[in-house]
Amino acid sequence: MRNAGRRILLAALIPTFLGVAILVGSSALQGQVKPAAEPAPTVLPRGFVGAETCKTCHTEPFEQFSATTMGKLFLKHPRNAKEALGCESCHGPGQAHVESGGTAFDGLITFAKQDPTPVEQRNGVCLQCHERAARLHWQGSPHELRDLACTNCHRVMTNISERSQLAKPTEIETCGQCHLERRAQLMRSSHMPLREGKMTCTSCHDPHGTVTDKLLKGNSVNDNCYTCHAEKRGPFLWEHPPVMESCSNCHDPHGSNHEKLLKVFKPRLCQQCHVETRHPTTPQTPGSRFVFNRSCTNCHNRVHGSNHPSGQLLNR
Amino acid sequence: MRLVIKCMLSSLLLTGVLLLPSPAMAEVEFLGLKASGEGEAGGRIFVDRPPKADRAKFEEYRDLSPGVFLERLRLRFESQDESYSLVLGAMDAGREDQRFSLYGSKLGWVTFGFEWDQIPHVFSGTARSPYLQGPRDVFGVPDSLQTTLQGASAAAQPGILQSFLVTAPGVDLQTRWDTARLLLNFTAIPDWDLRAEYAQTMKTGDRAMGMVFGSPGGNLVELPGSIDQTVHDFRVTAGLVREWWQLQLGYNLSIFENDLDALIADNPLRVTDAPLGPTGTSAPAHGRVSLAPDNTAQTVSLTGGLNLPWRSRLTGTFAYGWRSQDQAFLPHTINSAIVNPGLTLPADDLDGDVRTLLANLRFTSRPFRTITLGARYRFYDFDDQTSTLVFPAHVVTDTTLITEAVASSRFPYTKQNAGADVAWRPLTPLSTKVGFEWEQWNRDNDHREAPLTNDYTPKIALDYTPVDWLFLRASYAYSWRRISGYNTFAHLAHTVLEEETLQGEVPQSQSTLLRKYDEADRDRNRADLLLQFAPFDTLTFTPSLSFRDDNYTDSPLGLQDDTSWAVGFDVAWSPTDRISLVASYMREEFDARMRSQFRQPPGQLDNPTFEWVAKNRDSVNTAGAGVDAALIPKKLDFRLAWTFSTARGKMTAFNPVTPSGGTSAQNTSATAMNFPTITDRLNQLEASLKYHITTASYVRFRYIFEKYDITDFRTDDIQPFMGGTDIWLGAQIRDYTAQFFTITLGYRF
Repeated sequence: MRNAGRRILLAALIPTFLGVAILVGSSALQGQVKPAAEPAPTVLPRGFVGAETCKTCHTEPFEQFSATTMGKLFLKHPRNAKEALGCESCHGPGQAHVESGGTAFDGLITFAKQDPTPVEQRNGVCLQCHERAARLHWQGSPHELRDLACTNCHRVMTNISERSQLAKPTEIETCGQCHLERRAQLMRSSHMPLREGKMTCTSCHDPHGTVTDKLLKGNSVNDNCYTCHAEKRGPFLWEHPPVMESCSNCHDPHGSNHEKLLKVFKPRLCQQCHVETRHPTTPQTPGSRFVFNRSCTNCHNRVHGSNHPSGQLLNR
Repeated sequence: MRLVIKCMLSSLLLTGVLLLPSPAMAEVEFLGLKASGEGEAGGRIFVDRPPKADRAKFEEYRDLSPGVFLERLRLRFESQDESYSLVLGAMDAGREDQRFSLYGSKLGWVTFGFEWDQIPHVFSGTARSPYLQGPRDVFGVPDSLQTTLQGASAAAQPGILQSFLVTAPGVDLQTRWDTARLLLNFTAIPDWDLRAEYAQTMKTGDRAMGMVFGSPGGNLVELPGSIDQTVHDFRVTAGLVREWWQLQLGYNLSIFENDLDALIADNPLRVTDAPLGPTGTSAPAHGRVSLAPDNTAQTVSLTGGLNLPWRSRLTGTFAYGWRSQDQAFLPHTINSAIVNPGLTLPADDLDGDVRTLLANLRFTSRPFRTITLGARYRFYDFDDQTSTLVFPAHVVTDTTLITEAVASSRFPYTKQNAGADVAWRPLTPLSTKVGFEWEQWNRDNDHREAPLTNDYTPKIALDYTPVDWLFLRASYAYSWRRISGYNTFAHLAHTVLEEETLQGEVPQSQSTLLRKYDEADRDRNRADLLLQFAPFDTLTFTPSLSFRDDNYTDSPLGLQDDTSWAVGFDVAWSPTDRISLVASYMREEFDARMRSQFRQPPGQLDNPTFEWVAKNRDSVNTAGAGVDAALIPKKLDFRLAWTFSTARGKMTAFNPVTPSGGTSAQNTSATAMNFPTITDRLNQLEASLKYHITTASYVRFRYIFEKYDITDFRTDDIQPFMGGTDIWLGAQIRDYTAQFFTITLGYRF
């Protein structure tokens, strides 16, 4: 596909999709969706007391919650009867709690650390609304199978992080609560710009579940990497098979003390698979041009694949 | 001094502007909208700034220039009923690493966003090159140099080159990625999710690229090759959500464009192409390397989720993708002296065509409160449908004509994964899980050594919370990978046309004893342990341990074993509500052992004394500590953060038996020796005092200290001239020490 063709394709596709999306949404809205500012129901279901009652005692958390997106939606602009329940849409009916003077918690899910409610039940509250898009794969995902609660990583009641209402100010701190080794790896000499704030864990992973067991956003390791490193995608005339099968054959994306995020320094990395004849099999001396600077890729700079007719040695 | 005055004046001005009648956090209105926001700006003053040559690691992904800077700005405008909002964000505005964002939303209906992000990447501050860059990545040296070197003897050439390279000017080896991103999220219709995203990343700059003339003994030049690439990424998803099922359709288009097809450079040793000799060897005046070709990838995916009785759920994804690449081929060589009918290209381009198919099914069920069942299956097919091209002849590094046909092989594969597990919670605080995983790779029979590999992994995991302040998570997995057979002819097969006389008559170019580690039998043990002590709400102590051991059981040559372990902890403690302390430490070790054999045709292809063993040991220590304290509550805050990371890479090698039986030169070539240890160390300290002038404004004083030390024999002393007739960039990574202060004013309204 030539450059002009690609530009035309993009120029046609992008506004088409956006336009379709907006048109579909707009036309569907007409007469099908109630106005956003639906007033809270004046008659509450049995056992519910209403958010204003909760506010009487829980003033500070109520104010904090009001400042969050969910709070604004539930307390001021509910879209349906469930959201209109406010606090009780997640915590459950509060009548018994109020009538006991705050000592009874029957039927309530507090989401606190000591909450005896099973994790599955607590998560089920969130999934009533959030089991869509990125959370489609939540059930059966590694985090879900290890009984991770939504509230282990998210704080619903207050804005601690700038986005996504995380439990910590940044994603690295949130994920690093359990993934200590990965957090330490970010400090290695060769690293992607996570600790500089240019990337986050969710640049590559979706912790809510994906089609890969490592929670990668792409359909495979390589598809994930090609999102940014599309120059490695090919297909090339001359391929390097372990490159095509998995970038992680040679690289550790979380950080390495070897250049270019390599797992092992060159030439040893290459010599683990290349025992042909002559210089690939030579153990080499430190001062050799096959070792210093960029070692094998001093010459074989097309190591990810070459499109040159005479490039089968990946040096053209 | 001028800089200091500028910073002070800027700060005062900013203070004056920001300290306009402050409503002390009361609501602010702007054009009838509720407005809020925060910003922090000030100046950076260096006590010790690394010189440019030492600055590569310091500013690897950042711009930390002295002077005035806007650290961050966030403005939020909302309608009176808070249903509409517009958020404008900026970080490091005006700097190489600046970032902007604009988000607008109607609550519960639609969100749109725009982001602009610049990511610099500095590789080295010491690179020098005598090459002059012409248009479109063409590099030249003076003809006079080439003429002189062409006419000089081999013994004289290094001296001539050394004199010339003394005055090689500096070059910037850095790139920058600029990304513009648009996104639209539409959620107005209760059961629908519509999302569209477009990102364009423009990559520009220069990075080191090598070019060799005559392989492997010819001269080599290293160049500051240009990068001028664009990645377009467009994604759209539409999801339908119902109480019992969900469906999502997605499309992704990714286009890679490279404005540069090739890198061309003069060979400093030749001003003219040498005539082709009887052995098919010439000596070129230029070289040409191909750069990454334009390519396109599209993927369509359909995902469905179905809630079933007995608290069960089935999720399935099907995705089909296709990739294409049809960039016109370069000619075989830029060497005008090499002409041969066999160099006629069999096609104008690759017409690359790859299809991928993904099918992923996952089933979970909780038939009883204490039992969870899980099963999953994944199928990934990489079908390279590109035609094989046969080249009757080719040219090695623009130097040597080879009139032997080669075929461009394709390497399709299929990968399957399946697994099942059962989790049982006999008691509320105790959960155990046993499971089994299977992975199979099915590769091309002729062109990959192990057409079929199967990996089996039984595993067990335990989660235990005996008391509410103690949590234990442990897991162990043992896996064994077995291959169906190892085709030792595969390496030869994928580059040379099959001949009837091939097997048994032509020496294979690859040792038959080699087992490539991604295609070899392997036994693996893996264990992980995480503990979390939280005796009080204000204290958490989390130690962790992990261990992995890979043993390549049937690999006479190649990777033998690969072991790693990590032990560490994390502590967070808030003894009072005015102070919180954190500390962490992680120790990691990686040990890899490989075995190889020096081989030189025709007579030294299987000399057992030429075997050598290499061990690589990497040791990494990472530590951190920090304090956050309210020295005067709501008035004066103190923060201290320290991070330390040190790594050591030890590379040893030896011969189990002293090499013998070859010529003296061969015996020497087969002799293995240790390499000098590579070390690096990073020390970062930040101390800050934040004084709240009012409830809305504050001033922050920060002191930052950073020290980076590296010892790497491969680059420490590299210069453009390192002997012989090679030209290097001399791209070192150097130690640095940096100390600087920042004084910033912040305002929140």
